[in-house]
Amino acid sequence: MAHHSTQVSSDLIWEIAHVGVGDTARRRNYVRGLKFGIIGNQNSYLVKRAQSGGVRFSRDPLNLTNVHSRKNAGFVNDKAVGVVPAKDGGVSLITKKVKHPQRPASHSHTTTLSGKKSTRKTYKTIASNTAKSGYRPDLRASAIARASAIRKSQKEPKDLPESKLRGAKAKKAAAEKEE
Amino acid sequence: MVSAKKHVPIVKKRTKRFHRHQSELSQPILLIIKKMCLDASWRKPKGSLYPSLISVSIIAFAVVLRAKWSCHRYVQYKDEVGGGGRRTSIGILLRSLEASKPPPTSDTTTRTKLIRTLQIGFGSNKKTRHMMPSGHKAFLVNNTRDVELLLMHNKTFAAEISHAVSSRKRIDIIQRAKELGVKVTNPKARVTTEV
Repeated sequence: MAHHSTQVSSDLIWEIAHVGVGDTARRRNYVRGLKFGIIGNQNSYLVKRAQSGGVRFSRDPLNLTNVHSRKNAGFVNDKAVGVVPAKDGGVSLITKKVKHPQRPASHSHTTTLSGKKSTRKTYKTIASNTAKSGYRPDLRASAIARASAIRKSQKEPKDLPESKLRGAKAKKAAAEKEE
Repeated sequence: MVSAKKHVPIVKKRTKRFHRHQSELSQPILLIIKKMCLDASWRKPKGSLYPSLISVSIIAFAVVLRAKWSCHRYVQYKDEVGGGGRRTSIGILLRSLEASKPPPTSDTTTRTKLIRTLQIGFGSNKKTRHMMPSGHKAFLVNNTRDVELLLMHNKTFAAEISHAVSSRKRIDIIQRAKELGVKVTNPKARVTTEV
């Protein structure tokens, strides 16, 4: 691994090699850090733009904010939350199963929250599934915010207000036209 | 379309153009070799790739110029080696090479003689850097998938449709942006027809 990737720091590899075998939680965390170190800079989800001083977004469905970061990276973390639009104005809540992180085809669990359900109830369900159960309490706010944004986007968009005329001349011309 | 979130007022400290130092002094012989003439709006190319190689090539360029046409002014061009703090002047570097002395490590003594390399948002508040008058930052968009990235960022970013996108796809992008409440900076391009 270390041979192929020059971006991973040697310190990190040293730490991985020296974490106690029995300390699985700590070891797993290091492995996740290593994973992000290796594939964080180059993956199919990543969208980079040089505009606006360099922006990095992620297309990962398990990324709630679309910001490319370690916290939000669903493909790296064993526990991750995704909120995606569902049919008929609803949202689907995706969570990753911790048990088999190596089985990408079957490692996610999807709950669909119907559009007929009130938004408050939807948020309540999302909050209890992500934070209250102790799954990923740090993602509660962004999960709810995303669900809210999706619900809003599924409504009929409002028309933009008509642009106001600027300047006396334009107003005068418009008044004359009406006459 | 959502308006941008609240921000400190955007003040552009400098609205004049930046004139490349001594660009008007291009010598007639240099005009023949076009590559060696610098435009008034020329900027030193920036990038993290091989900074040492670039600086070496610039030094070589300056040495050749100086030897062949004794173009003394060219060697005064500042070179940036690595980070923002370590800045040296080729002129000083060359003079010290000639005198077989090591170049000065600290740039505090040389800074007064140099002209700073310019970056986007020169002098402006960092918080409002890259910001458009509406308070958004532009994000280049090629398709509807790109617009969907801005779902959670419609108060900070506005979509800017890439120039090569066809009018048919532009309509889709604008429609999707409207649904997501994302501002599009160029919604009229290619879409409106002449009346």
